[in-house]
Amino acid sequence: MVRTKEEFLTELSRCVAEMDDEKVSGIAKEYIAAGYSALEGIVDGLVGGIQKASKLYEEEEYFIPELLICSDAMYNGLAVLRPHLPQDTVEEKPKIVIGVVEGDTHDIGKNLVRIMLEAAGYAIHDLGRDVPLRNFVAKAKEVQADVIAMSTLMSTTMPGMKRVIELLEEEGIRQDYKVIIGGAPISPAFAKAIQADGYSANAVEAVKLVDRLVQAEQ
Amino acid sequence: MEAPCGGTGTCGKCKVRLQSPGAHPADENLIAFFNAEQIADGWRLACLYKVNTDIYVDLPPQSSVSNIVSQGYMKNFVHAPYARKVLNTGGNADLHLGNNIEAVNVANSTASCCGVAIDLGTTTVVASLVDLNGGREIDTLSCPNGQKAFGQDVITRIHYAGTNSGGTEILQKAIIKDLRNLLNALCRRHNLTMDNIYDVTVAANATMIHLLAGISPESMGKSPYMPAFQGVLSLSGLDLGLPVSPYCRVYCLPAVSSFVGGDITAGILACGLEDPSEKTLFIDIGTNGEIVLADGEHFCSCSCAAGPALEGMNISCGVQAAQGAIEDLFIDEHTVQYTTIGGEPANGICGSGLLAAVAEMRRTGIIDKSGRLLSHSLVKTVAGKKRFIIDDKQNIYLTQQDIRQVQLAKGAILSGIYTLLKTVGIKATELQRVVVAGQFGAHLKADSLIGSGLLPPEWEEIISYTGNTSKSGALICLLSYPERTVVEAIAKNIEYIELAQLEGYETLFVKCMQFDPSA
Repeated sequence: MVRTKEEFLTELSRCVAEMDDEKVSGIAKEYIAAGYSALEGIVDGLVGGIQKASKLYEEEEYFIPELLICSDAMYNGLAVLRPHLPQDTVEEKPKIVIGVVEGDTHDIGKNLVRIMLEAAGYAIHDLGRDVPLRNFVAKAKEVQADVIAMSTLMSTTMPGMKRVIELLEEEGIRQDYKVIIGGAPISPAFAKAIQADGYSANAVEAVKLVDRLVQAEQ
Repeated sequence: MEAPCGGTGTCGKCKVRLQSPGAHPADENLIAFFNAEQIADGWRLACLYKVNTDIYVDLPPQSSVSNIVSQGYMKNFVHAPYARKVLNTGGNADLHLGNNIEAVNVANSTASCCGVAIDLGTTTVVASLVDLNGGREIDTLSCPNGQKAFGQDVITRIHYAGTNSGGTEILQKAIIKDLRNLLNALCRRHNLTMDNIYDVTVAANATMIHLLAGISPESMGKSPYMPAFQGVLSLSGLDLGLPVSPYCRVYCLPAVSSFVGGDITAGILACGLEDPSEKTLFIDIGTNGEIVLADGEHFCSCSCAAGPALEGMNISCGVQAAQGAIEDLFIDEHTVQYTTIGGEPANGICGSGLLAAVAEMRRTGIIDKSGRLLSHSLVKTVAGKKRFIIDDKQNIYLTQQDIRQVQLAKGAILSGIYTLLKTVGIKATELQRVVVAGQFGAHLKADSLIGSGLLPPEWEEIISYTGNTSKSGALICLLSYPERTVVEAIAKNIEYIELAQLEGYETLFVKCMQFDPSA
């Protein structure tokens, strides 16, 4: 079937947004074979699709499982398109250090936030779960991060978030990073109390929050 | 007033209306729970409102807790109490504790030799007065756990103990006060004195036992979630300040881990899971769902963070299981029929009603496999958000978000079940018995548990409800000294699986959120 570039992009986007994680690789291959730009395929096709999926999540049509299948579809497409990006494409992505604070091993929520941030084009340095507090600061310095994102499911480990902010202050580098937090026991009031730069209730909101913080910086 | 979140402004259950609200800046936390009109009308969260001067507030309609399930299933066991009075040759009674004679001539007869079995729940405390020599339960009383003012679940209590100076002692005092009240009331009702209470057994989760003993529970609140001690704890009743005989010991049933406590080992004992002839799954559903699988050789357990949705928390019209709460529900094409606790006018929906509603919505196709609300005459869109209308007049409904909360709970519990089955190496169809224990379980129908996808569909015929087996396990330990050895062996032999650490757990959890029998 002969498709125009626009038709291809629409189809790539649809595959991601409608959870067609098996078909997407084939479409991406055809798209490359037809000689179209890999970068456009990613930006206007795949990423466009994940944005649609995020919107559906916000509209409560999709939930976590659907969002994850959409992101699987996007990664399947990316695996095909990425090798075809021009060699000199240097992607200057804002960098985010993310992790579950020390004392807590529940990381499903954090992983979802990571996936959605990655899909939105951020470079993610995932420290995993039960992360020693100093590691957030060390990693942020090492990679010159823009944002530090912390989560926890347990109220017992919430004070660790405050401690990370204090560590940044002690080193005089608090202003170099935006700090955002989330997780079931976290509230906007708590974020404000520990002087975090932002809070989000879910992964889709987290992307918007980071977009806002990073744009304000530029 | 309930404060499930411990006063952090996240649960929205402590709503009050200020009679003269004045100009209070509406902060972000309020917006999550009230619209502008309500804020202007004076509605606030009590936990976040700072009182600077005398104020008058209106409280929401009072909710009272429904009848507490105080009885539980009990296997057969040998009557051989740890504490008992035995007539000596002089015609007086000696007090025997275990295999020893603790005191001679304590009384002139063997009458009035009593003990108390206690189920010390995070929410409710149940105490049962027992005639030890006669092997008979005399009376049972219950009260809310006085620690509730410091948070609804164990994590908030641990947090409180760890972040407030003297926090552990404050929580210990609160629970001792409850126990004193219950023991005094039981004695009063049966013309007994504190000297007649010779033995106490307590079944409770690890946090409650730590707090009862005045041991900091802090280490359990952080990975690797280690309790401060393991095994049985035997305390002096007098040292704790309980109104009991000077000889009275307080025997706390052993826990498996921080999140599979003595209340669960009590349940395993009461239900006879050590019997090798039956493959049994034991489940206690609550904010933390504890599951134990026994195949005759192995015991395997896990704890799932189901969250408070099944207790009616974080649900738009959610209420605790009390008078007026919708506890069961049936959809007949275009109308919803429901029953409430006590037959009172509906004031909200509790956990059992919530599961019944989800099961019915799934059965009638109002929600699809992914949990999404579809177009239906009972589904309305309000302010761009879909909701399932239960009672339009009373304004009781379930939003899409509420259904998502149930899916999260279901994902946690079902993934725990499948993990245990896989670990032990048996199929869901190979089980002979599924035992649903606990306060919440007692209000549930098999239809709701299966229909909402909380339990696998193969189990409909083999589910049984055992009620408060935490208490009945404590009772067995009170009446049968040899059974203490059994429960101690059970606690030692149970393997505990930390779900969050497992490879591939996340994928299973996500899969289990969907309404798909082949999960």
